[in-house]
Amino acid sequence: MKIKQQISALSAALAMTLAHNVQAVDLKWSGFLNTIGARTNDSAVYLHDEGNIDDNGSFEESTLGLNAIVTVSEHLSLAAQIASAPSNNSIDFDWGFGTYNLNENWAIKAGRVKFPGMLVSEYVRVGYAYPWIRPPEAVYSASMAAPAMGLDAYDGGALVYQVFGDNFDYSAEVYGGGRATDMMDFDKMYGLVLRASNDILTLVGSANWSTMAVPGSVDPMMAAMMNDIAGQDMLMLNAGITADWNDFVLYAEYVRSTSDFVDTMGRNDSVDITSWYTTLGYRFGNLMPHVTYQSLEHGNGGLEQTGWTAGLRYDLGRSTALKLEWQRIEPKEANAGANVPMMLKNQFGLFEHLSTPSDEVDLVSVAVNFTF
Amino acid sequence: MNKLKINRWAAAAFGLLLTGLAQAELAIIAHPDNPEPALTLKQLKRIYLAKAKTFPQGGAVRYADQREGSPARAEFLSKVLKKREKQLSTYWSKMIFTGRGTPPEVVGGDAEVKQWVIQHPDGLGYIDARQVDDSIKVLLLVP
Repeated sequence: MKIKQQISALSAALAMTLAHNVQAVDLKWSGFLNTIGARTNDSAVYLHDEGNIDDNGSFEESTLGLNAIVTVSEHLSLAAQIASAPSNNSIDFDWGFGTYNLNENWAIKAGRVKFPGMLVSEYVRVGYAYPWIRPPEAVYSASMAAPAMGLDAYDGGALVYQVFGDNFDYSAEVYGGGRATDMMDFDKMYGLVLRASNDILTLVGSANWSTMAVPGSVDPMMAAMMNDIAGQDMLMLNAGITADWNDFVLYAEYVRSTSDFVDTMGRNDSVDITSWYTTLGYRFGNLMPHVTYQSLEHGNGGLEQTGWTAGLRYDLGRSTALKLEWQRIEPKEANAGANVPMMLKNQFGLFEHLSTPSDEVDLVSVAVNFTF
Repeated sequence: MNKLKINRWAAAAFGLLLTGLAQAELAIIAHPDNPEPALTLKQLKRIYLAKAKTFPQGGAVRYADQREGSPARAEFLSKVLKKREKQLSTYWSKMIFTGRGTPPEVVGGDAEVKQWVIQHPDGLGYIDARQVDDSIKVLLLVP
């Protein structure tokens, strides 16, 4: 009887505490929408993360995202994002993690955390937040970066240290975890990310290691290709800078992915990818024209391409951007004889089934980016 | 004719006065019971950009924004945050969609922010310095 009373008193107290906390909890919803239409002038299929593009035109890159941030206390916050891509008729659990701020300098993150190692990798799906319709593929395409990194999110944790200097704010983040998807398993993903930023500049440098495994759900053909790079430690180094000075906007980023290993046939293969891009833009009020040059090169003659982009961003109010881009891409035919993993062979840059290899391909894209 | 001229001068003087008003001093205000002695411009900026989650002494903070178009907000953006509206909206889209933080609550104009700060012991706000009185504590004056 006494125990029962105690239990009911306890549960009443608990309920009151919960009710009190729920009242104090601050929940904010946000969302984003990218509506993208794109087509090439070649029947080749351009392999993009969010969907493939060819000369029939495609809306496959369009994405809708929903985001919630809960501030539980001055120390603890929870955030999560789901995103839907019409191309695969599914809703992804994009990321979701808790952040515990120990003090002004130290914080811990745990959950599914977006890959932090690149300039825009943490908000790579949010078109409104950057000038382009899609971040330069030479650096941001998973087809390119997958050998070294999932480029997506890891399930694990991170320790973040930040310090506020006189001229720059600095942060160092050590992360570690893994990620299993239908397409790829990353047994291990870990790395170190350094950032420095002020009103004008943001600098990022990172070193990221990962080990890939082939999940059972992958079809045998694909699995055979992926087996080449499975179980190997891969390293991806990144350096990036972005500047927003007066009305000038600059982005530049360099990525190098490497791995040495022996393939299933006993041959020494290697991943040796260098890619980079530079973007320059200028704001005329609501209108921002920008140009980008990007390059992707495999040291052993694997996939390779360069490209120019001329783009226009027009800002409508505080939450909408209209974008128009024209891209000229020059894919090079992969050298099938070189010691290059199967996965990175038999392609022409990021294209598949290019009708006339080594020819230029034009890609025209229009987009509306919206946040709410 | 003369009268018209005088009116023009008066109008010009009034215009100058308005410009003077628009560049008024900002007061950074908190609840009278707030233990924080003062804030520096950098500490204030970190809180308003969600980089710091607490007052420098460690207390919880809720910060209020003024509505778009209010004179104090324009001053605050240029003098404290040093960002234009468009840069600020891009900044917040990055903060939100990486789960790092959310923008301040838009409370209203000077009078509403003052009232809100009085009602919130962990509150922080900015108003035209001429609206300051004994009901609130001033942590910083931004000339």
